[in-house]
Amino acid sequence: MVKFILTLFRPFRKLIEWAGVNYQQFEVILGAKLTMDNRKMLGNTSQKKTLRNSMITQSIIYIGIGGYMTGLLYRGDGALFFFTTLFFSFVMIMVIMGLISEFNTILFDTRDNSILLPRPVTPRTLLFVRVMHIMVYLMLISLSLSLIPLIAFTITYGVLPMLLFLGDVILITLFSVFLTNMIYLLLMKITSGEKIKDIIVYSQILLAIVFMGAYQLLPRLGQNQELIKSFNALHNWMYLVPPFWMSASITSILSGAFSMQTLGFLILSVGMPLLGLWLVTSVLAKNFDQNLSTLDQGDTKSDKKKGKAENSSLLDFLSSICSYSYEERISFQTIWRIANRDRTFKKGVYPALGYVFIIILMAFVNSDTSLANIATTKKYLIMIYAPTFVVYILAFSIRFSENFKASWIYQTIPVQRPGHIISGAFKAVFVQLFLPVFIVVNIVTVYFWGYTVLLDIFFGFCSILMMSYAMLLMQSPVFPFSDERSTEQSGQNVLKNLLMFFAIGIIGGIHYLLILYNVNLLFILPFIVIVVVLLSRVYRLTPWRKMTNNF
Amino acid sequence: MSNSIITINNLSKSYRNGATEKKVLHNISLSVLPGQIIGYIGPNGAGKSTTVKILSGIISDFEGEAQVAGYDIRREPLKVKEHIGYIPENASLYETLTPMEFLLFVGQLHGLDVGKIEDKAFKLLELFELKKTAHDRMNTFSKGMKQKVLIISGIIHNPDVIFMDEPLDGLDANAVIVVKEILMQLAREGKTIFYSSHIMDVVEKISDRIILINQGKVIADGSYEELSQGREVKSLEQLFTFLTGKSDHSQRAGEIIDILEN
Repeated sequence: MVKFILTLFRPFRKLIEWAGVNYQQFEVILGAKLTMDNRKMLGNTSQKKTLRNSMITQSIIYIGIGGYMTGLLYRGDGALFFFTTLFFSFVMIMVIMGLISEFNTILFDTRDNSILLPRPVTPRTLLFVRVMHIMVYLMLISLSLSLIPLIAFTITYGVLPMLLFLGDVILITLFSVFLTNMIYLLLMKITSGEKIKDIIVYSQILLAIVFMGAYQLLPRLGQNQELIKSFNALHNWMYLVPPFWMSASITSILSGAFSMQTLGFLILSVGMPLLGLWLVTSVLAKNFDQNLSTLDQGDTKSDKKKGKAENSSLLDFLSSICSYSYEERISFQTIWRIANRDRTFKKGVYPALGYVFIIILMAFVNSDTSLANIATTKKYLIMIYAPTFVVYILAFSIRFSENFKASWIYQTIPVQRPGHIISGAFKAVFVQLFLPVFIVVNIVTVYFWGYTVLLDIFFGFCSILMMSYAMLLMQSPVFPFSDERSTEQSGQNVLKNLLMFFAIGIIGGIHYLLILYNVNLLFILPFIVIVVVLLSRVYRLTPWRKMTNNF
Repeated sequence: MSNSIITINNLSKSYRNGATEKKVLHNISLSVLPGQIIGYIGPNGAGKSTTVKILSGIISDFEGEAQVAGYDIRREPLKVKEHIGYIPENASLYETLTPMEFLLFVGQLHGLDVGKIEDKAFKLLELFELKKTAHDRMNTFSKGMKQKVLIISGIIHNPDVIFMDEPLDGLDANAVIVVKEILMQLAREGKTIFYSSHIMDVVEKISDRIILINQGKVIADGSYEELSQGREVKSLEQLFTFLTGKSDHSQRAGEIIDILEN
């Protein structure tokens, strides 16, 4: 794949050289960068022969998403405008998110300073490599997404409309590059390098949620004929939303309904991306590099604030009420702080928080029950048990960290039972991440179903806690943030965790049956509380010999 | 000096942090002859790495003048970079590449022929005991192994001047001896080594000339013999302590022990 991409540049060699770029160096650097990207997602495999091609996998996923969306094109009146708007919005989101999340390695690769800057490579060549590196990926994203829609366009409307559509895809991609550049410049003006890295992580999280949300929501949107029909008219507010520029233009051209209003959209759809492109290449690129080098030169004041204290009185309070021993409390406090700051952990866990709301949304979007009648259903059980998804992710992610080597500290501390450490750690992330989601979701539950479900909520909470400890005890115990994320290890635990995930379904099912047969939950609750206490004790007493040592 | 390979005149560098400006180099001037091994020493934060980064073309916004290999670093940075090798203090590598891929990458950027690079890289990797891992990705390498690759990448194109910033960090004793020997042999062949470090015994053994900077200023410049003359010092370490004015080590150590015991 890397060689193929490099071959695509060869016909333009003279042109590239004419622009003052050293073509041989360009090819060498871009080749190395693409090779590294290709290996980035493949875990820790050190042997060359086991390499797979992640670029191809990524493209296939994007082609699939594009194909998945294409179905919307055939939903009757207004479908073309609806589909193109949705599609261009999606391309725009993917390109912007992709630029922010995936290309941090290009933009913030400080290794380049010591590896490339002392070599005889001109700044122009370096800039060209950087721009082309980004463009390769953007084209990979937008063209893969567009592949099936392009085929559908050719079959349904003909070759010329397909070319128009392709042109719009390129224009929206260019405009997204411009927008992202503006976002970066703005961020660099108002914040520090470390903060930008945090923002990158948050956009990666958002990207994961957008993926999941789009996957779940699109088919349901496609069934909503009213919504599709509402896309029959143009409104002035649409001038403010870039994807409408493209979708309104292409729809008007294809339907032959041309007016002054559509001319406005057409001018914006072509003019703005080209203006953006000119600004990016001639004005912003220069400032961008200058700002970037400033970011790289040592810490700034705001970076030094990174070690800010979390609300320590709250933390003291929570750790003291949740912990059984001094060791557990110390572990609770430390892990609470790390979980607040570790980017790898956030990236692994935060999307799950978003998924919970998507799972709940799906359960209700699909439903025929109106909001007024919802209190008559037993769907509050979905509300109670959906947040379990967070626990599942927490139990899986707490072992991984980008600073996993720092876990040598656990091996050197004189603690009789390491279980206190892992138990404190789990409680910290449980309270920090699961509990707020559970509370927020169940405030909504109480709002719709009334105070009568409070006992169910408490019963559900205890059941989740019981299953969480059962899940932890089934895993090989390992110190928090002590492992490097790798594909092989992920696979080993996925099956066990998946079993536990189904077990929660069973517990939820039992809860449902208890309600159905009017069993008083208060009779069962003490039993569950006792099991929780016992399981947490067993977990807390985990001995050294059972601990997985990653050293 | 007309035959100098490195000439620096009134070199200054400041870092801006919001409204405040911190000057890390203050009007440094010096010249280095070909074939010299310069031990560039100083306490933490003295400005050693900044000097090396300016001379290697990594930092371009500085005040004053600097010439390397006969070229002005500001006006002809590419010419300078063609003649230098740089070995940074941290093992900064593209770790998802293999050593062979990385050396090919570096060699090609210096315009070397692929076949020639492969041949040289293979031999050098063998001499640095990395032959077996030449085609493994470096993300599993130890710090010392990465440092060896970094050293090879700094010399594979046979540069006239080699800038080294703590190059022996992480290397085992045997590798340190090999590198010291390489540096001395390269110097005998006329290569110039600009060796920045705070490992005093290595600097003392290999350097023809020692330049000591403190708070961005050159405070001593000469051979070890010249610098220690007339002073009651038995090693470069003692000389360093004397010149940087930090001779209260035992008093500070005592205070630390007091804190620990109370």
